[in-house]
Amino acid sequence: MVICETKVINKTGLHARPAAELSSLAMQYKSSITIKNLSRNGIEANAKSIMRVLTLGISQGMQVAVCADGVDEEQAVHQLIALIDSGFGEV
Amino acid sequence: MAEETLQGKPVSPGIAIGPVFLYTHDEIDVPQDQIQASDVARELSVYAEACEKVGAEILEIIQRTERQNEADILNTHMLLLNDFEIAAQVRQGIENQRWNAAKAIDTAFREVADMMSAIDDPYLLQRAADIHDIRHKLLRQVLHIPAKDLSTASGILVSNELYPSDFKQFDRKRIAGVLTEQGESTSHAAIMARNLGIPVVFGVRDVTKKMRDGEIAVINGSRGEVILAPTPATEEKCRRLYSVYQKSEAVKRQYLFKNCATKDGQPITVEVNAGSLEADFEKDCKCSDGIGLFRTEFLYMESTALPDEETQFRAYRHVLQAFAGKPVIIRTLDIGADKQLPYLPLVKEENPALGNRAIRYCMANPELFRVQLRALLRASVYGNLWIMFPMISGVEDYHNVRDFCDTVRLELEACGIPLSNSIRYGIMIEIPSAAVMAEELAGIVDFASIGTNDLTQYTLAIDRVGRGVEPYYRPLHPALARLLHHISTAFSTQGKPLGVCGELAGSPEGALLLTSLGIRQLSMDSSKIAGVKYVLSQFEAGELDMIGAYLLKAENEQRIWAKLREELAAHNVISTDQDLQG
Repeated sequence: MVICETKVINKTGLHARPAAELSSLAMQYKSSITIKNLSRNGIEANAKSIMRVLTLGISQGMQVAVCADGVDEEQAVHQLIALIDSGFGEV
Repeated sequence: MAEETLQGKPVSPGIAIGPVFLYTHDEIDVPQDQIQASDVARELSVYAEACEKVGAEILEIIQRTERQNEADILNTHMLLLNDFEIAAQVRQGIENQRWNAAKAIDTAFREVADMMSAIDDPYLLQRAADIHDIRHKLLRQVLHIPAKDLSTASGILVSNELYPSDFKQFDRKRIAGVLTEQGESTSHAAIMARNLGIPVVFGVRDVTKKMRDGEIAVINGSRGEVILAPTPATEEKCRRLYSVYQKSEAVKRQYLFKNCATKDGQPITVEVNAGSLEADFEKDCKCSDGIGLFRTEFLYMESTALPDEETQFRAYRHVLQAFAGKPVIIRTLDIGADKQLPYLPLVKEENPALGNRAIRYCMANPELFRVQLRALLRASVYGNLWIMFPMISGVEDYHNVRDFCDTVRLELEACGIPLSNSIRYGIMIEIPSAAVMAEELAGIVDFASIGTNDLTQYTLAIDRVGRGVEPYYRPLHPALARLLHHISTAFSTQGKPLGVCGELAGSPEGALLLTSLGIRQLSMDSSKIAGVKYVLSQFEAGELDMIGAYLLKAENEQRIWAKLREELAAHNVISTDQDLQG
């Protein structure tokens, strides 16, 4: 299992398009992947479900953790964190 | 029925008049009956089939749309439709609860929407509308309820609520305006609505109950107003306004991407005001000479904690890169007791406009100010950065902030961080004392920009939000004209750039006044650019000087208004902004 933390920097947070991009990317991996909102009591969700990701209510400035478990866990966490850090083209 | 004016939220500007086309989303009656064990397979396939059809429907719209922001919204819908967690909930409803497909869909999607509405987050509240959009589409498929045909809709579309996908169902050449009871200006529906380029008003309570199909209504998207059952006189007035508006919009459009110049070719710098990263910077960059005012307050106000250096750095780098070498004037934090931050309560003041705000607050909180300056200086290598300090009262204020800024610069240099050598430092002139001291200030700063809103407030001792004193707020008071002229002369003598970034610069009268007083750099909301370029192209530089000389002798505001209006009319400038805004 691989876990990595980062801060969400893009303006709109993980709402709509950025959430869509995140869950689309997560779906490309075999590992089971969860995303945690550390700024809202650590509530977590399956990163492959856009609906679940949306309901975490992740806004700009919040701290999140991405956690993957499976054959491609390294790669999955690395790429998902990179996507969040890129600011989804908004910053 | 008597004429009635209702107020809503302005979403997209303009005026439209025409017959009402009512389109309501009635809540669909969902059958509640249980199913037999033997029906489970059938209901599951009913659901699967509905998903497929709705998916094809959304895909078809995605292929038709030309705009990226619309495609993004619809792609999100596609993902929500196929979300395996929601799908699992629907299937569970059918298999375990023995609900019919419609009830299982309705329950699952409602639960998700309720969950989103329950979280204290304005963005998510709007996403609930997206969920309902999909829920309705699925239910219509399952229950074989044909959608009300919008393709033949014409005139003014009136609805209780429009979902994002509704905006792709009608022919935009036939629809003159849109009016709804529900909806926020931050919603996906609002984005789709603005793309149409027609007047749109949201949030007019009970409007579908007050209107009937075919009745004439007027919608004013600039003011967020709708007039029901207009009297013949009102209708006539609005029709005239509409035709003038259409004509002036067409004329203005031709000027949007032209360089701004007087009739005899003297150039005038036109810049945009910006205060977020959401603007269309690509277009703004093409139609302007740079950013004349980039407000940084949004970084602080839309955040749940003080924005750190990295977050600010990325924001500044983004806007500097977007303007590719054109000047970007970034104003340091202008916050005070009237603009509170949730995580940083400021001491309540009797008179916040005269209190601990802007650089006064920043200098008293050097740690907070240092973070912003570090981020700005680090971003300087990505473009043409001009740093502007607000609320400077005179020479000593400027020296103090510059000294502090230089210390921060030395810190960064000591760490070997690359910084631009061509950063320009300037001030907002908004306090009358700074206006009076313009000559001395022009000698030490690289540039200045006049904030006419605050300068008016402070010069006339008039509270901009004060009730009962509105008649005393006179942005064209001759005292202001003379102050502006004094500042303008001081800066042009020293050859230093001087702009105006207040609201005044974006109106036809204001642009004419400012250029007449010798100011050659105007910054405004991007929606005002085409109009100002058009107005100024109608005057020769010599004419502007003559108008300026006249205005400087005026003894009251009325004379100034009258002269400006008269000159605009004499130069065939058709202006509807004033009428639309009322």
